[in-house]
Amino acid sequence: MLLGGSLLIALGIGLAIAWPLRPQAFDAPREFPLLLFLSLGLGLGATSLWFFLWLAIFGSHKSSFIASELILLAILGTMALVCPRHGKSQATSGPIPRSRFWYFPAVAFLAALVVAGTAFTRYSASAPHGAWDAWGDWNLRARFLYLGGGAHWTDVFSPLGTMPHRDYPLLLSATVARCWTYLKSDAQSAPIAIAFLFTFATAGELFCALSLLRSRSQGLIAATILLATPFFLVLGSAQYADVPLAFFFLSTIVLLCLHEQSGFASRRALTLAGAMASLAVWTKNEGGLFLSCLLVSYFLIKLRGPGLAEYRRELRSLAAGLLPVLAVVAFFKIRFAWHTDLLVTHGVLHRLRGAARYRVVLAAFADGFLHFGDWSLSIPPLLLVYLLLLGVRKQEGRVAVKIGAATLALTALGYFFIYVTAWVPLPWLLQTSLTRLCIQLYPSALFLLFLLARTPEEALKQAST
Amino acid sequence: MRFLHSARFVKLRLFTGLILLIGGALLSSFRVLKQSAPLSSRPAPDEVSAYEARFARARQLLPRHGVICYIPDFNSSEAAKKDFFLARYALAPLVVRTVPDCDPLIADFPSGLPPSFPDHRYAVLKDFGHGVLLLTRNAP
Repeated sequence: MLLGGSLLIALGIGLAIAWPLRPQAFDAPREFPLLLFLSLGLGLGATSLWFFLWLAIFGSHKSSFIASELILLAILGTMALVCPRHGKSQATSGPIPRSRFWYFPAVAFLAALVVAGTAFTRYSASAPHGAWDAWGDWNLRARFLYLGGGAHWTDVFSPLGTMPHRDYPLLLSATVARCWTYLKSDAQSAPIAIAFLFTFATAGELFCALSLLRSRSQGLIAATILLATPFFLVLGSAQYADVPLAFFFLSTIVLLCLHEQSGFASRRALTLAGAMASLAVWTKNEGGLFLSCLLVSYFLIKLRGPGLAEYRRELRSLAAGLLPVLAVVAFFKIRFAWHTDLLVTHGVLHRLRGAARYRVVLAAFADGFLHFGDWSLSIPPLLLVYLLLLGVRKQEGRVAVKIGAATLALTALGYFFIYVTAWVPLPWLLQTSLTRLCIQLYPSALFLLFLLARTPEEALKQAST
Repeated sequence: MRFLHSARFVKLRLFTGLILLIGGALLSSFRVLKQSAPLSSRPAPDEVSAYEARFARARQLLPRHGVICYIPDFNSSEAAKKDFFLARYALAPLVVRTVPDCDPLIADFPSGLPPSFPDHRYAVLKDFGHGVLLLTRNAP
């Protein structure tokens, strides 16, 4: 009950922030399910920031923190209701185009959803504390934040112990500790519920975004593929931060595409995209790489298209979403987590010159590409065959897809060079992290792929003409 | 050539693509369902909860916050490393040091005490059972 309340308050805060910034690419009732999924992640992210700031400023006065969130919800909710929308909406209205065809993917989706729900429940029941990194890192830090009390929560950054990765951002740990504050106990139901929400919200967001931008059957197929990925479910139920990170990557790219779909009527969706990208930075350090790649891709692609003036205007809107979160992240890094074990520059040039390291990483990437999902039958080659069989939709004038694809490609390239230059033993690092990095990019890659692919309806239409 | 653009061939391509993709995906779903242990067959309690339970009595005696030292050497084996990480999780928000240079110390031997333990360096303050002991250092 209390856990449900804490999650509903987070959803409410997320919705109050997202509502005035919604893309308006479609009329409100059609956009609303997608907005709900976006708001869930946004709300959990925003409340984790508030929880961290509260700890840093006031310490842990638990009941007053809950009261502060209710006040925040009331203020943001009122502002969302009275705040006027600027920009002319080019919303597409009317019923969603339907064909008889969507029943087949719907049945497959339902089967995948039921299996995913069952598997998630079983995994969580057999390991309620999550997998190694969850109890060894994310939930451990949550315990310090919650049980540490007013003066001792900063012990999580103590150099006296062997606390892991003291520079890791706090979105997941603070979200768990925030829910425990409502529950008044460090019950495992909180991290399990948060893991569940991020896992299934990612699939829900993928379905809703593709249903809006392409067709319902396209959304169902993509969500089926995601939910039928065994390692996505394993990682989601493991209570790691990789699936929440994947959620924020996907949200950023979806919002860029919806902004474009809206005919650039209002740039507020860009502000929302900026907020999502910065929450990725607050989730894991890889989020910083993703954000840098997004800004570089945006600059290069916009410069070739609409030009520098348009880029500047859009960058201002993106920055409006980015900066508030990045300011908190900067405060966190400077005040508490200045120590990092990532930036070990000694020997980097030597490692960059080692051809053998490139071969090892390339081989691991090739193998990872085929097997990261732990499928019975590797899905990436099947996706390529599917694209060849159905064909690709023409993308003239669509830059959001290009920005999204370039961002993902650059992020993958960044991961590649992180491996090449890493100071820790390479085989161990690849073995323990590569599949997780693939899952971080996977929902966004699926979204872009199904955005490009012809829908079954388009293929059937071609057959009938 | 005309056949390649015929309605029948386009439909054939579509259904082949869909059956391959969705069929391939659902094959993995089926495997997940078969491989994940049903709720009735799971061990109770799980590994982490069981490890935590070993420290339940020790936690009542230890300070709520501060620093505590840990033995044995967590670098001695992969199993010792995992034991240390589990102990660190169980004892949070205490900061657990791997160097035995402070008092009190917590000794953690899940598979039983070694024959020579405790040696002259430590005195036992309390034995909590299950291989968990509270120690203090003897003067050198």
